[in-house]
Amino acid sequence: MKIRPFYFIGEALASFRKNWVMSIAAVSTVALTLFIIGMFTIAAFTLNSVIKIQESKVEIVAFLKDSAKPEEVQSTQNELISWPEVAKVKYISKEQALERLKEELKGQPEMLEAMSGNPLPASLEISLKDPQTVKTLAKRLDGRAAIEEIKYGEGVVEKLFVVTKVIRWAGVIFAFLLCFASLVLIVNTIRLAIFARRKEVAIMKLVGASNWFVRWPFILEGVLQGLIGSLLAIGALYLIKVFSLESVTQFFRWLRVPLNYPQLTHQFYLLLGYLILAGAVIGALGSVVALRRYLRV
Amino acid sequence: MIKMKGVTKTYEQHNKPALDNVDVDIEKGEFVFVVGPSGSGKTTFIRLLIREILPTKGEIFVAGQDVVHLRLRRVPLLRRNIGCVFQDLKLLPNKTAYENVAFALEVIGRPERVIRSQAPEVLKLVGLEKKMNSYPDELSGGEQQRVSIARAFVNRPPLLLADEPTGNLDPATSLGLISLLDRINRTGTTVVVATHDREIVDSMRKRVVALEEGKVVRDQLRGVYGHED
Repeated sequence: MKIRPFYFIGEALASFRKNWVMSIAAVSTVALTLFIIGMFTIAAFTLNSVIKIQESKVEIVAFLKDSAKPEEVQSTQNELISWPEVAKVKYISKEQALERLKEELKGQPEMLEAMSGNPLPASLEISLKDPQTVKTLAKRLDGRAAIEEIKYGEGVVEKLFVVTKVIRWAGVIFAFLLCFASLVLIVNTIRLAIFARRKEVAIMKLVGASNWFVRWPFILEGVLQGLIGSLLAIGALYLIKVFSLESVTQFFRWLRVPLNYPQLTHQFYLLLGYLILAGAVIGALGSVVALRRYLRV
Repeated sequence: MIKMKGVTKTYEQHNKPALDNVDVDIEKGEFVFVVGPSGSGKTTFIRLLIREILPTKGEIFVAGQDVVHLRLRRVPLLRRNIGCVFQDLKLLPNKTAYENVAFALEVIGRPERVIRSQAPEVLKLVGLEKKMNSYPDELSGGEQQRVSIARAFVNRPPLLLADEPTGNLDPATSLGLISLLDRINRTGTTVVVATHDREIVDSMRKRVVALEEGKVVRDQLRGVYGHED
């Protein structure tokens, strides 16, 4: 049998119009569920960038012995730079350390007055490519001749990583549940719509229509419902991004977390694309699945 | 055209068969009434022929096809060779009279051009040229009946089945319908009509296959409905 796309498209459009109550039900289900998934994803992205920024603050500080020779310091620094895990090594001299302290204690000059000379050691500030490696690196660094003491926020860092791990896994699990619930909801709505038309399907089969002849208009109708629903959802998400995401990030600024705008924007458009695709695919597959039973005539 | 050999059909949850060891041969071009009271197996007879259901036992051949062993994918092809006027009409409620008739042509992949000339022609044949754009619920019982016949006949199938086509129609309309089926039969189409309408059977004097409690009790050329009961 010849494939007649225009006939099928026409049938799909006509039945979308004629069964408009069910069409609205399906479209609004798709729109609402995809909107919720979209909102959740945006929240998860934002939370993730907050977590990343917190984690990136983790660094190792190696305090140097006052007696350490400049060559020793230099060779330790060179060795550190050669390690693949290390992103950056910054040398802070005794004078720079004192300057910083002065800056921090601006309000309490009496503290500085009580200090004689410069008791502060010079140090190496080591930032890492992957913050999770902080403990092993700190251990590996221990025992160098030039190094007096190593600090990386022991205890606190481990707790931070536990917290971020829990948040990430909770996000993944919740996202999975949300997607599953949405899928069930959408497929059930389509199932209801097709149940209402089961007699129509049976009649088509009894006058000699092949399964695919019955299926195509339903699939296209599902795609149409999915597309309209997802377009509504991304429209709403876009409006929310434009009108309120800015103020949300302002709110986060209070937490002193600089959010990464360009990256977030790129991911946002990617998300919109995926939502449209998801709408169309779920609409089509939902129709195929829901039809299966009624084609057995 | 139709050959039934020892066909028995017992529906699930029934202990008495709806059809019981039925043997029937219908030649190409024949006009046959299948008669009998309600529950005698007429509708089961029709449903078996279009493979809406399968027999519990026996063999059925329609238009040279082994209906019982037909592969599922071939079922649509069988049905396209059979025009069927269903007892409950089975018109698509969302389609107009014209679209219902056109659908039977869409299914067999006729080009749009052919559909646009053939569908109105057949609707005219059944006298519905003025109601082409009405939906089934806007038509009277007799008009719906005629749409159903038009759809069954529009692709000129070699076999036309009609299950109680005159059910709840007044006698004049009934006779009109049957003479329409007669005209279709004269074009060479085999016609099988299941009915319990005594008047039309007696007026036509065609072959009569009488069913009673699922058994063929009489098979008579140029027959009548039968004795008063």
